[in-house]
Amino acid sequence: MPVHRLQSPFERWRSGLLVEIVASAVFMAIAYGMVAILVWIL
Amino acid sequence: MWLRLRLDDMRLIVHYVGLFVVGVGLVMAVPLVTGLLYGEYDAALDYLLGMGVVCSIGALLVNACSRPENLNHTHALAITAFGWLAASSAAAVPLAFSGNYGSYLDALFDAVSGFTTSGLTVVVDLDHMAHAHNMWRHLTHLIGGQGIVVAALSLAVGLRGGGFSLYLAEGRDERILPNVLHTVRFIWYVTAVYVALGTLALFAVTLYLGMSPERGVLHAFWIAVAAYDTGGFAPQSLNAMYYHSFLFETVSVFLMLAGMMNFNLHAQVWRGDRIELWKNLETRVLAFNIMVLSALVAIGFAATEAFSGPLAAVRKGAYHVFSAHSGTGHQTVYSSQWATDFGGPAFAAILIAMAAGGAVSSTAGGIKALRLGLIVRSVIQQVKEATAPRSALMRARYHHLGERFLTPEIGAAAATVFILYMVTYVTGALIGAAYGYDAGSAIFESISATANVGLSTGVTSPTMPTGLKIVYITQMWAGRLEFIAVLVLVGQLIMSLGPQRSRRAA
Repeated sequence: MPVHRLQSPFERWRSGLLVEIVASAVFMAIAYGMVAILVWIL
Repeated sequence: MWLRLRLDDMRLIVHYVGLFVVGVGLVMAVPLVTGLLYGEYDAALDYLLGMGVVCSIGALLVNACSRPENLNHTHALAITAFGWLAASSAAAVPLAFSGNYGSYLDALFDAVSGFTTSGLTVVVDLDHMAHAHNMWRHLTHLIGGQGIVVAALSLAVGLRGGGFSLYLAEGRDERILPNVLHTVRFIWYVTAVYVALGTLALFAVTLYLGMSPERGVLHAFWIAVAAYDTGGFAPQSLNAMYYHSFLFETVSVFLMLAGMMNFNLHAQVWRGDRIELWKNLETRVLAFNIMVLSALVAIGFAATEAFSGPLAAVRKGAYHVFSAHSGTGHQTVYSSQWATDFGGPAFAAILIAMAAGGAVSSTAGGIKALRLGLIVRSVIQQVKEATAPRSALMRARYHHLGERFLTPEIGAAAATVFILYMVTYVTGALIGAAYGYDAGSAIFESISATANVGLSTGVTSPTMPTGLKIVYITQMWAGRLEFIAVLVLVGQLIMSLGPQRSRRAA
């Protein structure tokens, strides 16, 4: 059974921040991409 | 029940408001130092004088009214509503000294716009404004974005009693941590992280764009603050268009997205609960809205064919949906282009984005995504109940920082705030139209002021009518405090005047 090391507050904070940044990047890419496709089609 | 203000209540309110004023005066040390560092001695003198005037008046208010013991929820609402006006009036003093404003009212307009993170401005010759004054304008975003009360509470300057009442009175619906001091410090912690990262990223971009380091670092900090706090001020009259850089815009959109997120959601994600980001009703409403409105903008652009190429259309279209929805108000088009190039669906999409706003307990303004989600869920629930058998027991649920039941009270509270925003949007638009502005511009500017966005069709300018300046100041103030604190203050004042009127009548 794998043993999980407990994350320090700093590691938790850093991973949370990374999740937010990656999520924002993905969302922005989708939004900009969708507008690009629509502008191209129309 | 309305509380009639007695002399003791007045003293209590004035005492706390005085503390806010002193606090604003002390923060003026930052632009004072900026002025000295950059050799702007005239501007530094404005802040030295400003500090003297503001701190003296504040200290007078604090000491004239000794500190009372009991602070109840109604007092907190009145202190918050009145405190925001007093803090703005104090912040306007050095701006009025700057020579970049036509009158004290114009300086007050910018101070209210700064604290409420709106971003509408009536400044004259912004491109030649001293760095110290620009630092002060952007600092008002930083203080107001998190909340003037939050700023005061985080320093715990004499506000230990009734702290949570004050915190909640400032348009914040939720506690993040059980202790008010920890809550407000967490808010500053998130802000510090994002503003620091944003400043670093934007500083790198300004260097890449060829700006000098000493100028680039200021621009980077100001734009990072204005984007994260969903403010909208910029150090140049062309606003974000000055930089002409897709990279610059991309970093700002990251900050806008972080700024429009609920501080409570930041706390959940930073504690390791990543699923909350996807399951939260607010995130879903915001994602859905931005997608639909971006599509509408694209359709509108196709109809007007205003932009030189598809790339320009994509860049300007998506950027302004993010800027409007987050309530930031940075713009990369000329004001006149809203009427000419954002015709039909694109113009409507920007109006809806501004009116809807960001998340509750964030730095964004507007009706807020959670309320919109709850209202839609309530409508669906009522339709279901109308078609279900009488014996059926139905309870709607929603996910917002955990599973919750949608009670009729929660739906009604959301609908009340929604109605107050809509009434203010319409009233401001009618007043704008009465002053002779065209309907589209009047609606646009009214929503922009009330939802604390800051996009402008050009109505807001130093030459606009004085009456309209006062209307927009009121809209920005009431919209930022989500009306309740303002209505309580007005109610209390009317109640307090009541007996005098009856005595006169007798």
